[in-house]
Amino acid sequence: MKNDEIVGLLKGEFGEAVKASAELSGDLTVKVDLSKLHEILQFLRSCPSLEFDYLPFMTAIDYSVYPKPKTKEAEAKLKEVKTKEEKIKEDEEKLTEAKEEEAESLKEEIQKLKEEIVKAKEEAEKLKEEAKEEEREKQFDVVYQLRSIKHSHDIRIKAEVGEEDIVESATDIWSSTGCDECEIYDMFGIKFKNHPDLRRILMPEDWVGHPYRKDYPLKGKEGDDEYLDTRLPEGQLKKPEHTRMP
Amino acid sequence: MIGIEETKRVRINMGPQHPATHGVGRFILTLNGEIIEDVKPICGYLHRGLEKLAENMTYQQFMPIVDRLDYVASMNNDLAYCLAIEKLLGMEVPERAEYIRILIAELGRIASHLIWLGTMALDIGAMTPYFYTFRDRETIYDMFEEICGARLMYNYVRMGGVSNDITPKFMEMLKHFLDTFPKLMKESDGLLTKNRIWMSRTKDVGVINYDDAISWGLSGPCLRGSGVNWDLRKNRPYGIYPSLDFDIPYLPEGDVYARYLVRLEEINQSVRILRQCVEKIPSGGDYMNPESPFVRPMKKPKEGIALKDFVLQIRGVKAPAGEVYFGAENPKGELGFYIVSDGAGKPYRMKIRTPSFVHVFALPVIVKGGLIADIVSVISSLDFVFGEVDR
Repeated sequence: MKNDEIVGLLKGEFGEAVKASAELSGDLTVKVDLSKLHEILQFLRSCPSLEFDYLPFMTAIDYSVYPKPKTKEAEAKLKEVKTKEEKIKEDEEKLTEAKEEEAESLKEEIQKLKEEIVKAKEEAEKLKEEAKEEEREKQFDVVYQLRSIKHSHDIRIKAEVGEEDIVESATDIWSSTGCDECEIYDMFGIKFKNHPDLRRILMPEDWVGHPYRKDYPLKGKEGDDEYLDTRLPEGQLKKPEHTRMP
Repeated sequence: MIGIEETKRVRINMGPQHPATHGVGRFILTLNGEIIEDVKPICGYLHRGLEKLAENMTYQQFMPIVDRLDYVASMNNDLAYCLAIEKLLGMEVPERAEYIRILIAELGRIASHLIWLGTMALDIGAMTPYFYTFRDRETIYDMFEEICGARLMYNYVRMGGVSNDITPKFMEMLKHFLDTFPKLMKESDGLLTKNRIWMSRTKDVGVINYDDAISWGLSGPCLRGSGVNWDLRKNRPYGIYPSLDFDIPYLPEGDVYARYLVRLEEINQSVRILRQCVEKIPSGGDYMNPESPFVRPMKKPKEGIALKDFVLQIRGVKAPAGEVYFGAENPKGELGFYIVSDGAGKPYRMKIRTPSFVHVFALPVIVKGGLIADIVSVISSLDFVFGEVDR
């Protein structure tokens, strides 16, 4: 089945729960609503013309520090407006003290600046509206890469997930999601319900924090050494200074 | 008399230093007599946080680390990673480089399968094939040493081509290898395939059926051992595989013996691919795309070029914002890279889909209800490497 046919079928079945779809270098990506996620996955698995029976992988992405170029541009435009307004104030102060010849050129400059400010404000508003697409309500995305071995087509399903949301486990649809969901729980702290055995699989069971989040430091936290220290019998080993880089 | 009606479940800890787990894997077995009732795989002993490291490195800096995923098939890992980056950047590869890539990828596949065959035979109790297979693998490693100087961690395939051209000596070694290897392979084949002990240890052991194999996400020879005709070289063709003539072996039984036969046939098909490549490879031409942004300028750098080179080293090559998934058919199964780029020189997020990770967690469903003596042969037949499981 072709990509646009798949999207059309999904949109016809679920309507507004299918938010957006994009095709990036041949990969079809569909964004869906979290509340309908499990239903959509079940539909993708069971619909005879789609039949996505194989799940290569499932993962999560932390979008908390993803760059927002348009919001940045809008902010820069607004800053420009502010500096120009200040300049107008300065010029007006000068006007009161200036002689006739200077006064005329100053008046012209003020007129020019005012026109520029109006233009910049319009542009900033436009950019702000465009930047609304970049804004996200929730921190994470869960990603399901699906494949149909029978029909030989692929799709990627994404859904926005917040820290407090609990995602319904897909182990009843594809058994292979079991280990991936454990990994996501371990590395991002996203919880799944109806999972048979949700546990940390890569990090130790008593580990604090979720390493693949963007706020988790690469080189260890200051508190880590103390954590190690409390676990050692007193006086047996020195504080391991080499375990953490500055 | 001891009451037979009173049965107790026994828990046995297998690993992490057990020789049959092929690395530092640990399995907690729940036994009812000799029958395995449950297996709980525990991994993470080799966890290095590669996906986190990748987010803090430029694309070319991550290249050597890819070798450490599946450390017995480093060439194939390199190739999969480079193909993913090339898909993201939309780069092209010269024809000669494409042939060199297929040559080394198929040699890597043979080397990986030889290690699997030797260690599996050793685990089950046959010692001789181990020496035969490691002897043949040695000649392949000699060839790799000839083209890139390294024997285990090659870092040979690069974005846009390969790091250096193959030598005439390599081609001579390869031709000699192709002449002798099929005969040598018959030695271990003759020792095992029709061996009665081997067949009784592997036939109808560790069975996983067609639907379960797909649902549990098995890939590579394990998937084909369950009767699924699926190979990314045919179904999602990359490189010059579409122009080559080869078959995909698959068997419907789904037991250890089927997986064994599929891998043996894959070795033969790899030899077939190698023979075609030796015939078809263009005698001259670029081995590296000269317009690749990852290539340093060859001329003596002027001031401006030196600065450009410096910026390239520090900030990396800027990839377009977007996301891409590429899966390649590795000896162990599907190795995939899912890269999310935000337009900078570093990936925003990289997920590495490794076949072994999925296989380890599919082990419980395969061995449940079987005998404890069989778990060793099932583990060997799934052929996982813990560098890939823990990442």
